[in-house]
Amino acid sequence: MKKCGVCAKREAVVAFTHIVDDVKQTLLLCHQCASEKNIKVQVAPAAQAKEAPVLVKEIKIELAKLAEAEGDGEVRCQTCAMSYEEFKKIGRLGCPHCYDAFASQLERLLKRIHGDNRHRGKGPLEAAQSTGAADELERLREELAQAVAEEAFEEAAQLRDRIRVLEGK
Amino acid sequence: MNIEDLVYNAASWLSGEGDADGMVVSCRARLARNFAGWAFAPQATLEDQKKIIEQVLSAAQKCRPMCDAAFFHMNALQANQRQLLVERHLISPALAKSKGQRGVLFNADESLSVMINEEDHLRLQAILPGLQTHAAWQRVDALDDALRSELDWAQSERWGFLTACPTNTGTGLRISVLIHLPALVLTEDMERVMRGLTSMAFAVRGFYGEGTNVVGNLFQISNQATLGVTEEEIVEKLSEITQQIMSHEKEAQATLLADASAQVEDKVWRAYGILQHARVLSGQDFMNLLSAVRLGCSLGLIDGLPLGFINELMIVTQPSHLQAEARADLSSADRDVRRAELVRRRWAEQRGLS
Repeated sequence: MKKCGVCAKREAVVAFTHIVDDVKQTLLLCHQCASEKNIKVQVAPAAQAKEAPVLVKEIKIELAKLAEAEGDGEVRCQTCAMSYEEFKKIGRLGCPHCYDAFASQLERLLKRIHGDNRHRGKGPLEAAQSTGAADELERLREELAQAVAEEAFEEAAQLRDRIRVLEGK
Repeated sequence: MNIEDLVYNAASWLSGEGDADGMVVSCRARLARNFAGWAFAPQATLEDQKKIIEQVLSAAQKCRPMCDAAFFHMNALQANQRQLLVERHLISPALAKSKGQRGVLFNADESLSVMINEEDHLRLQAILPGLQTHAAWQRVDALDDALRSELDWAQSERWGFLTACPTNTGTGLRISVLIHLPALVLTEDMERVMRGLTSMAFAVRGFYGEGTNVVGNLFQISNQATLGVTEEEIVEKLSEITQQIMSHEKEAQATLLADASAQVEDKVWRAYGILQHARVLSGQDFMNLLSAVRLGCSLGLIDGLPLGFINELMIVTQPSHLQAEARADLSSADRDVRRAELVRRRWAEQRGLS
């Protein structure tokens, strides 16, 4: 028996699947927590029998509602107060700190836009002299480990190729 | 400096230098930069926008490439004067339209400019004649270096330079060429070329960039990706692609000459005649005729007509330039008459010179 993902006490009877920025997330909830989050549970007639496992056929909910109920769903920049939803509407970020506030969303968005999400161009003024191949290699190896951990194999393959090129030099 | 005087200023990027085949009018490199610790321009308060302008101006005074630059605050300009700057490629249509504290700084030959408080706090631009993409990048890179020794840019190790729109994040570098491709349009191969460019993440746009129409067979080709690539790679890739397109255009020109030389020559010489004698020229008409004349130069049919003359004509015949020279608002019909007059006058002067 799985416990509810919110209260961690009661039995989970609802599997709530939502998609945030192309990533599928499944949340298991008990009846009470689900109703607190305004998730309308439509229980299939057969599932109402006591011995039958509770099956939830359709859960319809507006993503925004859940995000609001969860609190942490609505990501806001602490510096300029822009929310990710607002950014999606206007297409422009509010301030440089938005990049930290929306880091995980932007990581994927930047990859989609540019086909890559690691800066390789001009660096900061003070680093202009010191950035060498050694630093680059170290950074790439870290990224590779992370990509493998995330099972992002396509990205991992690209990183591996780049590391090989640098090592070959 | 009086802004209307720009009409008589020959911007260096129109000189035709470095354009051996009469194809690449100019190339442009621009960098998006923002101050660390400030809201991006669209979200910044008017007070902050004002401070940003002050800081940029004081930093620019100390940096050699911009120390003699002229500054224009948008609020001090009429709509037609702002449009004049758009026509000269000194500001974007977006800056001309936007509200708030914003302005532009540019040097005497108009090769370097800085838009302040457009979408980003700064948009640095270097624009040069012909296919000089590496030189354009070096110019804007040097300007960036000079300014950043005075100012603190928003940047991260992971994502490079942070910009208001994530499509510019990373290098913040957009590099483009303005290229004339009449034969590819005539042979209807342009669509195929455009599809190829799009698949390589390069954008094709009209004369005045984003959201503008293609006029006179002039296309603007630019990189889309700014993250995950170095500046040099972006510049090199654009050069390579441009050279490939140029060779396609040359092939298409050769095909046209081989298959229909009489028709092509007729098109070129008719345009040459009409431009020197017409009494009414619409903007569209004019750009198409000038395109035929430029094609005549590329094909070697017309000799002794400098590309710089053609390029400059293309700018001074734009609506706001005509109005600035007339020092009056003109109706579209009046402009068409003045455009024809201006072209005849300039052509006569040109004949006198050669």
